[in-house]
Amino acid sequence: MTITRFRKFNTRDVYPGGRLDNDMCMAVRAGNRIFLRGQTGLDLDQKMIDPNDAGTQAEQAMQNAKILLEEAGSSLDHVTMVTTYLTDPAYRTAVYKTVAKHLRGNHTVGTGLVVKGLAMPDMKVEIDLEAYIPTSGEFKKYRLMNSKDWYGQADINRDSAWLIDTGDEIFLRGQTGTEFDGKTMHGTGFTVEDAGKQADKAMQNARGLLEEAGASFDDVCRTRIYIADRAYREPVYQAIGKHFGDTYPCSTGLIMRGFARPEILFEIDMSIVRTNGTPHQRFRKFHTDNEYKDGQQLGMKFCKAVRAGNRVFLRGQTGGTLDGEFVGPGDPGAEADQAMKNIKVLLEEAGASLNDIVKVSTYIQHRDHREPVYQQIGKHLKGVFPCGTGLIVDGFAKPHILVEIDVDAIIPD
Amino acid sequence: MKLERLSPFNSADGHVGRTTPGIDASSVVKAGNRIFMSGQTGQPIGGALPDTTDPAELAERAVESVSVLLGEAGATLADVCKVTTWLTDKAYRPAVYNMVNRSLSAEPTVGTGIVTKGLALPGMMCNLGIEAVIPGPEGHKRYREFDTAQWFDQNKLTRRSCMLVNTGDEIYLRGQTGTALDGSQQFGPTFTLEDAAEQADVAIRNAATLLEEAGATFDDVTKLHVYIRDRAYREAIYPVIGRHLGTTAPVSTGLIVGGFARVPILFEIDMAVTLSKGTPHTRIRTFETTAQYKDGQDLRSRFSMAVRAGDRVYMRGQTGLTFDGEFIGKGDVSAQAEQAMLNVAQLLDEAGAQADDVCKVTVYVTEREFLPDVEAVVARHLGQVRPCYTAIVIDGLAMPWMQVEIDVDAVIQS
Repeated sequence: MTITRFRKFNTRDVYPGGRLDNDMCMAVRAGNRIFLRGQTGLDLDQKMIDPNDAGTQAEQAMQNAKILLEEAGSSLDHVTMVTTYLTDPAYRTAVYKTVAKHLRGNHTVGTGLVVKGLAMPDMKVEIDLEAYIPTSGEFKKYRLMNSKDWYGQADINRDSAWLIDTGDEIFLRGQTGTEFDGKTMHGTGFTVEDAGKQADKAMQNARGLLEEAGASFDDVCRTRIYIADRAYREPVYQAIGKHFGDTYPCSTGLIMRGFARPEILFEIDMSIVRTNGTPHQRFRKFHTDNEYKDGQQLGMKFCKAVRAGNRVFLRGQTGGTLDGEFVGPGDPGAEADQAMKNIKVLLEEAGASLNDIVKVSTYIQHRDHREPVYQQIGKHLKGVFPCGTGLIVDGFAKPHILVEIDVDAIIPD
Repeated sequence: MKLERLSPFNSADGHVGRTTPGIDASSVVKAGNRIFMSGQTGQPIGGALPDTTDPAELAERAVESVSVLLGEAGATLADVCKVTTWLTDKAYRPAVYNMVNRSLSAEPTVGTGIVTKGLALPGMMCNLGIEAVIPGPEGHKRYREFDTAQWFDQNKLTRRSCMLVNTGDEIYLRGQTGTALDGSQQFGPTFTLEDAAEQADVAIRNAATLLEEAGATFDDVTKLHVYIRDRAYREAIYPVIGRHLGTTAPVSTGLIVGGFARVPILFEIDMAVTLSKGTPHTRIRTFETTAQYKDGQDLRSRFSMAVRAGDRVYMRGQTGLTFDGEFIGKGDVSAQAEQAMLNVAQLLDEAGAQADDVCKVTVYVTEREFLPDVEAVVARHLGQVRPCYTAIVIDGLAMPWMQVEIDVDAVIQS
């Protein structure tokens, strides 16, 4: 597998007045898998196109994506998953219509989140696209639908799927507590019990979809668990843990301010790679009740790294050391430094290195922390040139965590 | 004294595509020398929000409106006692604060600054909550004046501020955080639960010191607004408040917000203070938090549902919670708003007031999408009362299933 990084740049040339020094790139092609930088209203010359209109920013983001995918030998037809981050739910219709227009006829899976903020205050939307170039014929897509048939979304005409099977990686729609018919939402009373019901339904859906595709939870490498309020963490994780049993995925958990609809209290994304008979290697398995010493009862079995063929997935890393100490409380730079040190150790245990990182997703609580956090990431990833996505979120597993860093790595042949 | 209601508007004005009627409101309500004002965002009265992404431009228009409205009420910018600044992104702070200061430089004011999830329209970036009192012959007394440029970590801002304004009837206190009174340092800087408790302790002790300097005590405190960065800090902060305030039993509104003036601030507390002058305030339906929070939250505080202080009526922020601590309308924001407004009517009655005495309504919703439904309920209950009105989209309320909280200020007319 060859890894090619397109349009390398350094963030010091992007963000005016900043003291950042991050070697990044716009797109990475690893074999047939393509990762893109999260796209915004910044054009490919890094100029903000229109600070006032979310639809225009989405249009720019999709035009950028089209160019980048084509430069990498792919196209918008190969997009498998779309993750949309909005800074206000009011932008949803304009943004989704624009995305739908560009992806007409390509049924993609998607996740839609409302975030506290993006890299710059003017940014109203960021779009993460995953793409995979088919080797032969078409991908198998399951349960095609159009979002206009989805309750509360009649104004969005977007071609969607519930699951896309590339034969290698499986892309699953972000799962919530909604029935497959898109009409029935479980747990609409905003209580902790409702959050648990939604998580239970989401996991039932995920299991059913994977079975339809001839896959199983054994293929799941990483989960990203988005929760609307800290109060919902325990019921959501307990429900997820019950379904996953001894799967031991690695996980990133974020408090987000919103989803497609207000009554959605939680959404789960899964990164899935077919084992094809050879079980994924799962490193440093743990039980959350031993890991969270603050009394959180999550009842969940996780691991800290998963190797699936050439792919390496890690637990989202924070200022917590791999031994459970917390470094640099109140100091986002120190936390990011510790997170990157953990990432180095975990990658090496999985047979990879920092040089194999293709994408960095950086989550922080306050935009003011961008500089100290990115300085540390830049220091550790000097010369690596991954693509990146940066979000400001409402919180993490514990209130004193200020930064969490997710990486995707692919080991070249 | 009769209330004067000036510059009418409807809360749905300028909301494109809105099909339900909003609340008939007033931009200003004048209660004697006390001036209530609807939050100003830069949206002209009855018009559309300017199409701009420049926070300074919106702030400039907002303070222009403040100036005009104060003039209509026979007041001036020099009469402003307190400014509560709501921002949708902390990055707007320097632009908004410097603009506000240009207009409010006549006299130092106290201030509270909150970053919140959203405002009534997606394009809004700031909301200025103005409280003004036309001074008597002796004028207002202002304590501990300073310029925010001298406050640590805020050297990009210049604003004439003070820690306390005493009008003779009321005291306006700067929003208190875990910062030393001289602005020299921030306590509890590592974001833990213990830090939140330490900040609360410092904040309340500072408040006690300031009130004492002005000849007041916690017995004069009528209402708290408790702003908290993360739900996890609630159980750390409230018991500290409860310990300091003892049996004072003010009313309280508790909000989870996105941020404050500086990142390490985990909590800010606003205290409304009316000088009791020998006649204790009447505290109605005093309760222990354990009786209201049946979800297991351990807050160890003693609050009231309403406080009457002379002709002023303060109320606990009302939600779907009944007075017995039962929650009405989980998943149904209209039902929650209905319960809240039924509570408001009952409390007004018990305090000797009526709907016509309502001066200001502030609605906090956890999603902007809930506003039309909530406003329809409020409009039905208040009809042509025409209070001042502010809508805030808030990060969270006391319980995760609360979707709306309604604050009501009233002055009993004679």
